[in-house]
Amino acid sequence: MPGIRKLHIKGLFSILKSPIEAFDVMRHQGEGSLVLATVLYVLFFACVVAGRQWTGYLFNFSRVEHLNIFIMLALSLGLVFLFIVSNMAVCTLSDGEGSLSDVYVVTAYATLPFILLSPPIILLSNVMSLGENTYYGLMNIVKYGWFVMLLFTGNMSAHQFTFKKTLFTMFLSAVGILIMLFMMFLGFALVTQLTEFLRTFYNEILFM
Amino acid sequence: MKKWVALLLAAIFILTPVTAIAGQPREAAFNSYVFNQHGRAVPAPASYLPLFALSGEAWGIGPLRNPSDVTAGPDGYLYIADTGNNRIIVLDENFALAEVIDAFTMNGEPFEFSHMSGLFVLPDGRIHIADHELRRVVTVDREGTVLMYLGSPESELLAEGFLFTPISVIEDPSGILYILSRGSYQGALMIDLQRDNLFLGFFGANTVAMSAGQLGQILWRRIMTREQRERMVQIIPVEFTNFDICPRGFIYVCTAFSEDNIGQLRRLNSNGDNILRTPQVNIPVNYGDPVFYTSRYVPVTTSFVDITYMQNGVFAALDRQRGRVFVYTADSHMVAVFGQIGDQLGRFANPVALASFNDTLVVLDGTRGEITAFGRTEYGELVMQALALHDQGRYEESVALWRGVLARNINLELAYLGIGRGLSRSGDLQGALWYLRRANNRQVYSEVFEMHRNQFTNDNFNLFALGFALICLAWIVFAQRKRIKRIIGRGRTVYAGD
Repeated sequence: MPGIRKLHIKGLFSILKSPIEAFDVMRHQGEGSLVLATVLYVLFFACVVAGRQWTGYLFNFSRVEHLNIFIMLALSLGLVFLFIVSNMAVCTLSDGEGSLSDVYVVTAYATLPFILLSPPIILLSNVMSLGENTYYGLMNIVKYGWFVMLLFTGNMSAHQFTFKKTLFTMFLSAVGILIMLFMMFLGFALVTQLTEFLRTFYNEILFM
Repeated sequence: MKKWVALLLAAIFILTPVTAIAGQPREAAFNSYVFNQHGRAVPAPASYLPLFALSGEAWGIGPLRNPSDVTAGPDGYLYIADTGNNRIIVLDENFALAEVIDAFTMNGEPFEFSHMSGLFVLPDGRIHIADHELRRVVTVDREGTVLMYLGSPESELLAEGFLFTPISVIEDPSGILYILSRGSYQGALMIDLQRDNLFLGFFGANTVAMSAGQLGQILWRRIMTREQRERMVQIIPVEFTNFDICPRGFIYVCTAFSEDNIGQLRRLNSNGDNILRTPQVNIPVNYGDPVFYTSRYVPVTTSFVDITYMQNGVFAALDRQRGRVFVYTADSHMVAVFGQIGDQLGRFANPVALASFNDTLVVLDGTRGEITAFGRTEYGELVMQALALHDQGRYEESVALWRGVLARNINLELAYLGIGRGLSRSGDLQGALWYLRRANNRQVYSEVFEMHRNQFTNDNFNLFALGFALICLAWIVFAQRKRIKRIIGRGRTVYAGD
C-alpha cells in the first residue's frame, strides 16, 4: 500500500475521537509512520514499567525483589509483537489486505489511549485510598478496554475485513499466539536436552 | 623465640571466644521465626524457652502412662489426666505435686474410669471428665466422688448409629456443657445442665470449604447412579479436634486437617459463628506452617491437636505434626513459635495437649509421659506487655514497648502496626504511614492515608482554591482567545485611526 509512511500527528489523535473513520483515512491517505509507531511502542513499554514502579502503595502489589525488566518486556511488548506476527499469519491466509508494516503501525496507534491514560491513573493511584478502589478499577477497565477496542478497529481497517471476519481472525490470532508459545517452549526444552546430552557424551568420553 | 610466643598468645586469643560461647546461656533446641508479609519464615528471637521437663518419677508417683490431657484450673492448679493409670494428677503453681485423685466412688461404691481423655475444671473445684471408651461424661469433686454421670444423649437430632465418643468437654458460664465427640462432624454436642441435662443440639460445625475439585465432584454426582454415589467418598466438614473457653465465654476451636491451613483455628460466639479477627478484614490467613510437599507430592499440613486461651486475646495452638506451639494474638498475628519433634529439652515425641498455666505454657507428651514447661524470655515478655496495651486500645502507650520489640526483632510486622496505630492516634500521620507501610496492612494504611489526605487538603485549601481559580481563568482565556484578540485589535485600530 503506497504512501502509508507519512508522519501525521494530527491523524494520530483523531483516532481517539472517531477510530473507524480515522483508521480508514489513515489507510487511504497514507497517514501512518513507522517511526511514530516505534516511538509509541517505546512509550507503551515505558508506561508499563512506570505503572509497576510508581503506582501507589495501596494498589501496587508488585515486589521489588521480583523486578525483571526482560520478563516485563516479554509480557508487554513481546506479547504485542507475537500478536502482530500471529495476526499477519492468519490474515494472509484469509485474504487480508494489510501488510506487515500496516499491522505494525495500526497496532502501535491502538496503544495511544493506554499511553495517554497511564500517567493520570498512576498519579491518581497515589492519592486514592482503598475506599476509591472501584473508581481505580473502572479507570483501568477503560484503559485496557479502549486499547482492545482500537486494536480491533485498527485491525479491521488494515485488512479491510468485515466485523465478523475480524472477530474470527482475532480469535485465530489468539490461538496462534498459544501455538507459537508452545513451539517456543518445545524448542527450548529440546535445546536444553540436546546440550545436556552433548555434555554427558563429552563427560563419558573424557573418562573413558 | 619471641615470635613463637607471640603466635601462641595470638592463637589463645583467637580460640578463647569458642570456650566463651560454651558458657553462654542455654540455646533453644528449636528455631524461632515469624512469617513476613509474603508468607516466608524469617528468623526471630525466641519468645519462649523450655524451663524444665517433669515426669511421674519427679513427683514420686511412678511414670505416667499415656496421659492425654493437661489443663489449668481456675483455682490455680494444673490438672493432668493420667489416662493409663486412671488417675488425675494435681500440681500446684510451683509444679509440685498437690494431690493425686485415683480413688473414685459413686454412691459409695468404687468407680472405675476406662479412658479419660479430656478434663475441664470448674471454679468450685468440680472436674468434668470425658471418658471416650465407656462413652460417658462424668463430674467428680476433688475427693473423687462422682457427682454427675452423663451417658449418650437421646434425641431425634442425632443420626441413627451416632456413637457418643466424648474426647473433650467444657462448660460455659451459663451452665451449658459442650462435649466434643470423636468423628462428629456436626460439631460439639450442647447439653443444658440447668434443664435436666437436655440435649440442645450441635454447636459450631465447620463448613465445607468449596474448592474446584469438590465442585467437580458435586457435578459428577448428578450423573451417577445411586450405587456409584454410595461408593464415593462423602463430602463432609472436618471435625474439630479440641477446644477451650476464654473467660468471656468465647470458645476457641482447632481443626486437625485443612487443605490450605485456612480456618484451622477459630473463635466461636454463642451462635457458633467464627469471630476470630484477621489482620485485614475478609483476607483469611494461614495458621501454623504453610503446607509443605514432599518429593512425592504428599502434603505435610499443620495438624492442630489442642488450643488454649492465654490472656489479652492471645491464644496458643499445638501442632502434632511438627511438635510446634504457635502463639497468636486476637488479630491472628503470629507472635511466637517454639517446640519441635526430638529428644532434647523443649522437644517432644508425641505432644498431645497444651495448657496455659500462670505465665508458662505447658506441653504434655503422651508417649514419654512428661510435661514440659516453657517460660517467656525477655523478648516474649515485652511482646506480651505491648499486646496487653494494644488489646485495650491504649495504642499511644504501647508505642514505646513496640519500639523495644522492634529493636530486638526487626522482622515483626505486628510491631510496625502497633507503632503505626499509636502514632496515628497521637496525630503523627506521616510517621504512622511510614510504619504502617512496613506493617504491610493495606487496610489500616488506607484509613490513616485518608485522614492524612483530608488533613493535607484542609491545611492547603487556599492553595487548592487558588490553583482551581487560575485553571478556570486560563481555560476562559483560551476558549475566548479570538474574542480577546479582537478586542485588543479593535483598541489598536481605534488608536491607529485616531
